[in-house]
Amino acid sequence: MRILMLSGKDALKRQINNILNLEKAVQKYIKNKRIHQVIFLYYDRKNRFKVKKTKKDARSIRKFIQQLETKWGNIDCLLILGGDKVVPFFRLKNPCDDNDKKVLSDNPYASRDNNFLIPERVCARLPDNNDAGFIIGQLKKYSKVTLKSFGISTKVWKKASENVYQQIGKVRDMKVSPPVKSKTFKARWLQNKDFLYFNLHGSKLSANWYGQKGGKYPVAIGLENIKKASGVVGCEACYGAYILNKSQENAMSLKLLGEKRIYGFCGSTTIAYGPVAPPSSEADLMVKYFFEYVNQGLTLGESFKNAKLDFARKVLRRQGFLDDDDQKTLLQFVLYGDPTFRLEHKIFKKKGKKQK
Amino acid sequence: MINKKTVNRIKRMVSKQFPEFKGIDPKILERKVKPQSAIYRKLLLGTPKILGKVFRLKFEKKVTTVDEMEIDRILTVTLNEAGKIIKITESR
Repeated sequence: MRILMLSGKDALKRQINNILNLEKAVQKYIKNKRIHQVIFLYYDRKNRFKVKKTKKDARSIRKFIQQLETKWGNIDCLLILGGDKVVPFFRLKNPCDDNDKKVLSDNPYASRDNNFLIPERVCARLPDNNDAGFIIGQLKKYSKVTLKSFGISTKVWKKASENVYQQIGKVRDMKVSPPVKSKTFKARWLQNKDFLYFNLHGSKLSANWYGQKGGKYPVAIGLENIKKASGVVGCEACYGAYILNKSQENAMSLKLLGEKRIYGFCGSTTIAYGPVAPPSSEADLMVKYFFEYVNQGLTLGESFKNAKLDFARKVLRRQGFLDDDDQKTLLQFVLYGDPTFRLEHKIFKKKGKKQK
Repeated sequence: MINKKTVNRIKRMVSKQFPEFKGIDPKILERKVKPQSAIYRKLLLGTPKILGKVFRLKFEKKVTTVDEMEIDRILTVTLNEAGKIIKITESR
């Protein structure tokens, strides 16, 4: 498997100042990936493949990747180092008629042709949070499998959420907001878990995620509730993965990723959609498939890519075409974290249980 | 175009099942469904000959959370040409 780790040196320097420690951590990461061919390149520097360096522009960077592929061979996995100011998200036309002017997406980086809906390679991103230590931390995560999960849903989507949560836990354990509010939320609920599932409301301006019952929207979880959280996160909240001009201080996704044992974050950059009741569709279906593959022991990257492929296939078989919401779902979901990470010990634990 | 009777039927259903959207007039969008051959090809699926229309009735409002953040609430009811509901989605 060929993995390209890609960043922009000038932009990265501006974001995190000293890049030396990060470069050392990347080299160590590459050394540890013995079964993969991994390279680390800056798109704005000369490289051994003689691919012409380029400017900080999403389309130019994509072209850089395509040119590299012709010299190095097919890239199976792209790992972007840095946030939007280092490797910009694509600003794609919004298929839905809603208040998002554009859809922030990494899909074009995952696609070889101009049909960006269907990925051909794994693509994940390590946001920088203006801190080298934050990126280095993402490269050093290791799993400690607990066979436990946590999930929380707005009261109005309880049935729909249960249909997702059953992939990773017992539906009777899933929390509902209300009654759960940030003031009654226990930090320990997020500790020592393999999976964290959030089907709540989100906002571009606030770090909080919200519950709903009728016309009431209480804060279900806030930044203060995150302490020693662990697990792979699947979040359906609108703007759950929105990180433009954000940091750990005002974005839940970055706050979670800053935790030592949060392994990855799958969420939406813009307004997301989902069903009011089963069967799962849109964001529910995306997260459901993502959890299913991670639970089977696949890497986060493979799980994320497969989730998108399965999502598209399922919708095409169900209704014959991808409508506006489906297309937006495919574009808006991004993966933050090390795409090669997997809950591998889980496989052994499960086998061990069976043998007993 | 979708007829007024169907729109009223959907509005009644929405008022009953989603009272927070009661009294809101939906924005009606007509979408031509074209065969998405490129997507089918990429997924190695046979392309069906789908031609037709769907109608999307979008109910939209802004709500305020307890910490006074404004969020968009969007409920979309998708209908086929016969006026049958294909799906109902809500913004997260």
